[in-house]
Amino acid sequence: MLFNSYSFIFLFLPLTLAGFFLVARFSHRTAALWLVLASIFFYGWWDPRYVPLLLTSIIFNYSIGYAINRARPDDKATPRAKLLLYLGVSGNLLLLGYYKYTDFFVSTSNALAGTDLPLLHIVLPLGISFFSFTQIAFLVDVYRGLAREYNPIHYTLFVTYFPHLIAGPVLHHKQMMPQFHRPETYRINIANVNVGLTIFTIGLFKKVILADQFALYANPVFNAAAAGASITTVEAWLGALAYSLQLYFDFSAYSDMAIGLSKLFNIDLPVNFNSPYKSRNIIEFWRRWHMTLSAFLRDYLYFPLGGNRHGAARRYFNLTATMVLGGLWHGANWTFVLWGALHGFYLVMNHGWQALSARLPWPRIPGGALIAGAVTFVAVVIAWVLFRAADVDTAVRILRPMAGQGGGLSLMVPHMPSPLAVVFLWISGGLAVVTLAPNSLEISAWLDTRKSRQGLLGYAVGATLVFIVLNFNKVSTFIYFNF
Amino acid sequence: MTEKRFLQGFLTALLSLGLILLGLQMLLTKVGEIDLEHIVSRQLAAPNGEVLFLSGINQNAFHYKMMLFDRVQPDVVAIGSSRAMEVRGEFFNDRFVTLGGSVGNLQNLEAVADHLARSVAPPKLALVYVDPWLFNARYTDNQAAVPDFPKFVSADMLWGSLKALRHGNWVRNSFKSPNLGIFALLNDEGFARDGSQYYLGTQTGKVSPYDLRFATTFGRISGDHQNFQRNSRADPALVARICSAVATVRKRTPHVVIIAPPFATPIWARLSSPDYAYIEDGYAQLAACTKGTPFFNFANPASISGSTDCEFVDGLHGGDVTYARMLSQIGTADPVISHYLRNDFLAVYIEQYKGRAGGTVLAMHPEIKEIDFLGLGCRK
Repeated sequence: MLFNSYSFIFLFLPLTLAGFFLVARFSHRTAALWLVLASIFFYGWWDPRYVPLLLTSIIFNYSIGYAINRARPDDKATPRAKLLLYLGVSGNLLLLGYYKYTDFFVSTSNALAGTDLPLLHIVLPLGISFFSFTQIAFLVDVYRGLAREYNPIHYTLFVTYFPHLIAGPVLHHKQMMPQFHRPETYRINIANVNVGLTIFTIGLFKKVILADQFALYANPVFNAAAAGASITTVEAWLGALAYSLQLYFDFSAYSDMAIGLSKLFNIDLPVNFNSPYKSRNIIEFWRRWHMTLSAFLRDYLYFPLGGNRHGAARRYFNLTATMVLGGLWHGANWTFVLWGALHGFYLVMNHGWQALSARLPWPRIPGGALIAGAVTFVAVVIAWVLFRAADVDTAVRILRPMAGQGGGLSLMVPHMPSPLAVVFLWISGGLAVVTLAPNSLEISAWLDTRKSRQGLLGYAVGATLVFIVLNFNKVSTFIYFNF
Repeated sequence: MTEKRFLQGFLTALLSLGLILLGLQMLLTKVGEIDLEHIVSRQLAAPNGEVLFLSGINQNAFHYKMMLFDRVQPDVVAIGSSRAMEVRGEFFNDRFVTLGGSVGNLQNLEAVADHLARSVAPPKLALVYVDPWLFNARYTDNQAAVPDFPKFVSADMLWGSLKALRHGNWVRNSFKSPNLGIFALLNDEGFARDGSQYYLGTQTGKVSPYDLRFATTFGRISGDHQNFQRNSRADPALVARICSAVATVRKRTPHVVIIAPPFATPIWARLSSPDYAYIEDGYAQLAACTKGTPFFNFANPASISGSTDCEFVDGLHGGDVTYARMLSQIGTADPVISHYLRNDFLAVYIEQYKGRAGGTVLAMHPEIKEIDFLGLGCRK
């Protein structure tokens, strides 16, 4: 079930919300169970065959977490606890590997060894990357003594909670469990409802009105390149920029909607985007883009690899390895590996540059921040071409004309569905929004401080929601559902 | 935002705007832009050609044609793009529906084939009109999914219906005309209950000329886009998908014929260049992989006996007289197909309306005269 669907907005959400607060009047535990059941229904709406897989994963991780905790009698890590941790993490990685990477390994083996092993064409269960990572983090936290909650209903809710189940944010056990325990969670809070509706509406607007519009300009260019068509320099840049905007509006929209929906239930989800295209370097970009995944990769991969504790060379290796694996997490394709490697390279360059500039007395350049922001954005856009392209050949067919090779400087945009001026206006507008405008959380915070004309503001948010619903006829799924 | 006034304002917006939208939903249902059941039922309750349907907003005919097929359960069916829409029910002895307009790309063709194969009453004869771009790897629409037929009022629909008011008052027309869909209400053009397209507005000049001296089609060729992307070779994988779709149709339909529909003479002359060598290559591959299925290649209009460009609607759409000529030739070559055709009727029809793009419309409206809407100097 999509957040941007009639069935979700007019049936699932009102019924789940009403049921939750109604049941909570009698029993908080039953209200949490209601939310678990609603979340499983939400997941099963897509394909009920994968509900047993989700539940098996939950039971497995809950049991391993319980066992790890029992294996730490004096609150200290023991070899038995470590063994159980390895078992748990391996179990999750095997599940993820089977569903997500089997065909990737088979096709790579075929290409390298010249074999002809058949592809299995395994369907990727929705949200498997997210619920696997969430639970790996839980197991590690238990092993480190940071997680102590063993209420099975709350644990199941922590994993299945419908606002985040399919496409994140990646949650930490310690962020969620106290909120499930809190009595205030189970009482309607009008202020939270208002904030939740506002953030949800902003997210819905970003998805339905903005992201899907930019998809109309990105898809034809990437599809044409995949079909072997020749792409002009202008078209290649417009396609890449359109995709950069589509991806940001799409994914940050999902995060906004998740945060807004969760707020209706009095539960705070972590912020996942903080105007990433305003970043002035790649390090900052990764502190603002998909923040919960970045934090996960930092805490559970980069730090265990040694982080920056063993010298510069090891630090750069760790950074690159983390980014390559982060790329692979997004999808089983060499394009994602290259995308991760390129960002690893960017980060190494960025850290190297910072180390160098700390030692040398660089003069302050007027407008330096602007230049840094522009360079960072262009670097990110170039990397997104690898992220979006169906294969490496397609990416090259777009990157070459972007670099001025072979595309020609014609202003013709034969693959675009609209005239150049229209596409240009949309992309300029999109760029202005992502680089200059406040983000959804800033807007929501601003609305929160206003005490006058609340009725009018509420009407404006309601009218915007109606306008968005009127655009549901071109509904599409979220990009991050694929990961 | 602690005040209840915010929530009250929010709910007031939902309620007030919701009521307005409910009214618009009812209006657009009445004019035939929303409820497909209602549209098909109205058409089937009237004689063929009396209630035309063509949306002014939604150009995709897939779901409409599938529902028409399910409700009519025809013995004979034509499958294809808009280049299969001029096959008329009156050309056949048996119940007929053309699904022309439903196959915009390969994915659509596969979906239509699956639909026929799963049907409770599969047809006995299927005429599959195959456009050459379906096997051109540079035709980028081959993966485009079919959008659902609208069930609810939408922003596009409201904007489209408002814009359509510039061309005429379709709201007022909906109280006077039996037609359904804003385009049909404004122009008297659309699909009849046999699924075929009636070009009344084009034939009479009520609709502005679309392809004067084929300039629009030539523009698409020189622009290397909109179905006319150049290629030297057909993609064998795409041809294989067409063959597979034909095989799917053949599972439950005993007689299947593949037809390459025609282009107007100057267009075909341009497409005969090496830039478009993929067309003949693709049809040759198609004939090879569908052995046992009769294949008639009319892409070159010279292969249609007696046809002229005056019988075309535009550079890539022959009119119903041209399609009658093709069927007549097929019937002569294939006695099995001949059995389904009203051969005597076809002969009279071709003779009576030769040189015109639409005989059926002229037969229904003897008072109108077809004009030279292509600007070719045709004497009609």
